[in-house]
Amino acid sequence: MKNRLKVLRAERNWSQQDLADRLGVSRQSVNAIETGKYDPSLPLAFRIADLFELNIEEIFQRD
Amino acid sequence: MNAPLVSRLAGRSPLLWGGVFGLGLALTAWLERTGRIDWPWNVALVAAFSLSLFMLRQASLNRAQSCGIDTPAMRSYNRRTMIWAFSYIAMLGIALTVRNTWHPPGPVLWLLALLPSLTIAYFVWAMARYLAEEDDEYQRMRQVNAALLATGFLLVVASVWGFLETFGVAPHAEGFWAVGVWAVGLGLGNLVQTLRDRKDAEV
Repeated sequence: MKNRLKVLRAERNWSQQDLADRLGVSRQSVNAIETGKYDPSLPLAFRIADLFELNIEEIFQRD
Repeated sequence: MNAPLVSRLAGRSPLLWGGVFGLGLALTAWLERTGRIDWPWNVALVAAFSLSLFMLRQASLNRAQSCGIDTPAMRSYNRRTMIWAFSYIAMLGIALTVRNTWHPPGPVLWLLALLPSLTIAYFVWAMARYLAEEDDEYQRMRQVNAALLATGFLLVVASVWGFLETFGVAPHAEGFWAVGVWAVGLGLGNLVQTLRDRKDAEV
């Protein structure tokens, strides 16, 4: 699965740590999701979508 | 222990201090098995090597902060493993000292033998609590993966050793070594995942 997390984060001028703090996860987890090493669970994907005020499919897409 | 000294020695290599502690325990066991030392020097040696746990804890904290994996659940887990390590050494020391000094009768011997194993039960509980308390699903998945690898490692080592022992080519190993072998497997599991992450990052 690919995602637009890095772009969305850059648009808001947030570091990985900023995003991690807002989501309540570790920086390593944000990095793993951004680089496609880890696909988040649905609850976490919803938290990410809520944070960016977007739908899940606007952030995560199939490869 | 002096905090700045611990910070300087800790650096960023928990593997080094884990290795010092593990090799220290193995060396003590070998010296004892070959009859070179006996009580109370075995307990004294283990106590001396356990000082490396202060550095191990600090190095783990440093690494967690630099790698962005410093979660509240991980901090609680690190604190509990420190409590476990020192309780284990203390209980082992007390049990051996009482046995060798007062030579208590059977029922007391049972209690003495159970003292160190109670702390091992605490270690297993601490690992279970970590998995229950960790809110970061990616970190939890990494630890579950490491625990599975550790379990596989223990099964292989125990089976291989058991057959070597059965065929008379290896000395008897006591059951309590299982936790130590599992802990080594846990470290290997984390190392494998870190190396895999680095390899992915290079692609």
